Amino acid sequence: MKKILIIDDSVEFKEMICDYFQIIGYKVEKADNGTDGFKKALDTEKPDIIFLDVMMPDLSGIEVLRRLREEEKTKNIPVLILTGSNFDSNMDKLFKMESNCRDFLSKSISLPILAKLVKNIIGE
Amino acid sequence: MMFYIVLINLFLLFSLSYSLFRLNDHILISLLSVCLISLVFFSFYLYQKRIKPISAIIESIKDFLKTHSLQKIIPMKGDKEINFIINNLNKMMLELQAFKSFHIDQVVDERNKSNAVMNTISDSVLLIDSSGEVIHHNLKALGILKIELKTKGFTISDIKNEGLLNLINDVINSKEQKGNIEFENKDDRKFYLISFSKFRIPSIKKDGIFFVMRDITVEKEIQKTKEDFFHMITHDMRAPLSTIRGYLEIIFSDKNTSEKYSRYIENINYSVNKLAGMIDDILNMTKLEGKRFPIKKEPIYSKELAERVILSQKLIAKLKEINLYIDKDFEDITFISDNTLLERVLINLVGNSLKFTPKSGEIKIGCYNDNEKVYFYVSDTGPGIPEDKRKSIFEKYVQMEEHREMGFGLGLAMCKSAIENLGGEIWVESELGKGAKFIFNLPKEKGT
Repeated sequence: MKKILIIDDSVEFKEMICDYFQIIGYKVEKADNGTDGFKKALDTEKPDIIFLDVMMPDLSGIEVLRRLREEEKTKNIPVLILTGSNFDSNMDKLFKMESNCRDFLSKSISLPILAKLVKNIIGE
Repeated sequence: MMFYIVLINLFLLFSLSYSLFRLNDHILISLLSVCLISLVFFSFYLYQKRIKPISAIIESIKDFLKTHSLQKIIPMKGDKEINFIINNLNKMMLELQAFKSFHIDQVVDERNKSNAVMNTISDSVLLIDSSGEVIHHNLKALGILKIELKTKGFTISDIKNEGLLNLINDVINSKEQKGNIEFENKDDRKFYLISFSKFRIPSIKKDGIFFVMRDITVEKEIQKTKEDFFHMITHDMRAPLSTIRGYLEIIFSDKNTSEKYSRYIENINYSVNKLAGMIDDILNMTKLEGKRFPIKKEPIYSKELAERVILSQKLIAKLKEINLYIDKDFEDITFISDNTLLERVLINLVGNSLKFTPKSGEIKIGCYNDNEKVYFYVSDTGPGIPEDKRKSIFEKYVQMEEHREMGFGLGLAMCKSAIENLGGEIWVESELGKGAKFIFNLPKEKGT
């Protein structure tokens, strides 16, 4: 079973993503902030894909992304940015420059589309 | 008088020749004397009545040309003909002087007025000709252009503000006749909106370029505050909204939901999507206006897109008993553009038609293409749009005036902004009482 790690400080959103992806057959691990997320990516069973929020109280999404890239174990894990933020082209570019960032998505993306994207990247 | 003197002289000359012929000394001498005396008399007359007045005339004309004013009138001391000339010359110079001073006063008045205006307004004003000569400017302009206050004229090469100098040179070299450019001034860290327009200056036979530079720093700050505010609100709204949508999708996919509840859920789903769409539109609008929208380039399948739009709006169409469908000669085209943005545009257009089309009407989505462009249209059987409104409906909040109860009128403005950002055009064709047809086109970047 493929594993998703979701790093987001919004509890209800995280819960919903977790429920949805569990139903369609993924294993989901949750992290409440950047530090916690980075630790879980490194220490626990390696996730196949990471959903990453941008605005979080401790580490920002871009910082987490940078740290993930620096570590041998995590540098090749594909990352999808899922943000409630009003992202502009600058932020878009900034994130896309990071090697393992696959896409920059709005939290309002429909779940089946997100699921299709995940399936395309890591398989079922 | 002259005639008589000449006549006497001729007579004397004739007598002289006669006496010479006869060799009579006495007569000869006396004739010569008379001749001499009359010559002296004639010269004196000529000097007094012709030469002296003519020099006076010349002096006076020279003076007039120098000072443009008649210092003193030329005395009428010549003979009849000369006096005629002097008299009329005096009159003409007096008239010319009056005319000139009248015009100069007027010009000075106008100049003072325009200077007062130019130096009072808070904008910087600069008028140059196409060769770079500065024709006119206000004090404010000197500051921003970093030109030292000199008494003599200057050219744009005296402009020490490099950024602005480059901008001005670009404008001189461009073919644009007028335009607006936003400029960030490195010196004072302020933003300026620079408007220019070119026009012909007949007196110097050159093109002039008029620049007005307006400080828009405060507007920018307000804009920024507004965006930050929207950003904050929407950021906080998105997570709970997405959560509701997500759970709705989970419930949807559950086959065990009863018939009754699935209708409720469908409505909740529509409403949540509508709310999310509205939030997206507000955000897109501020982004699109600031040209900072990250436009995606992804393959679009026109039929799939239209089907998605219809699916999202079919609930309302059903409730209003409106037949919402894909037009029969819809062409399924693949091209490159921004999927989400296009979906928002089409949803807004269909949503707009749904609002105005009465019960049991019809709304259809169409698509066709030519060599360069892809065209989409949404056509309805609503009341139509009067000719004088066909442009203004695409302006922000216009709907508020006319159909206050119908929403906040951002939809069509967002469509226009989005389509223009994607490099296309949008317009509406309509026949009053029969319906409206919204059409937009997009450049056709072929799908790979």
